[in-house]
Amino acid sequence: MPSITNHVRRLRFDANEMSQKALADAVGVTRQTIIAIEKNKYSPSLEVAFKIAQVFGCSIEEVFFYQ
Amino acid sequence: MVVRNDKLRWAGGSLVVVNLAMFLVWGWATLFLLGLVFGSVLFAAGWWADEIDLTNELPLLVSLLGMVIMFGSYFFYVFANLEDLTGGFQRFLGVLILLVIVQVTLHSLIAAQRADGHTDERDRAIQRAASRWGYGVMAVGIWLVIGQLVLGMIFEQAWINSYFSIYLLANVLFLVFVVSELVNISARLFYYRRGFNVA
Repeated sequence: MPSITNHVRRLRFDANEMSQKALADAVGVTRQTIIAIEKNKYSPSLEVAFKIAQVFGCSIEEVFFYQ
Repeated sequence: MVVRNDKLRWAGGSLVVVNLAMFLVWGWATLFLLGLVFGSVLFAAGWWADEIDLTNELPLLVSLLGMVIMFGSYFFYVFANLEDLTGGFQRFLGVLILLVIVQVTLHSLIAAQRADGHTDERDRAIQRAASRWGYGVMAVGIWLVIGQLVLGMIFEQAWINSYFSIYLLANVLFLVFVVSELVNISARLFYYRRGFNVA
């Protein structure tokens, strides 16, 4: 069954090891939500997905995948 | 690497020891049982700190267990002693005071843990989904009570006109509300634990 996965963890690491808290503050969610997204336990809204992509300076397809 | 939370382990361990001592000295009491269970949960959460979400899951778990013990003890007494209205009312007040204390403590702990102090889209979505489960159970429960009442009147059952029927009815309705709240909390715990909105 296809599911939404993401590269948030790797992108955070590439972005000078950005902390989960820093990313959470930048996109306006709690740190627990970033943890849930990284563990594929939560698919964020389009708004938050775009904000995450914006923080890493890449397109949304480079962060989230449907496979 | 396993992450431990020493503060939680100390708090939980102390609560267990203190309540165990009181339990051994004064015997069985709901308050000591509550303390023992809370202590054990806090200790376990401190031991497996990386396995549990301390901001969302732990308060919900403590709330759930607290409600099961407090209301379990209340309903156990009330339905076994339907003629003792004074005792039932005293226990109701006791449970109410305990519930307020537990909820105020829990919310203070959550506020202290969550420095930014706000809920986000995931919290709100989980609350909405869990509320639907709770509401469903409440609706079914209330319809069952209404059906039972109507059937009781149609078939002229003796209990419907007995002096404690209002008291019994009030407690059954109260039980419906408590169960729906328990379902609400369990659903939130389930969604936090197993994931939510996962495609």
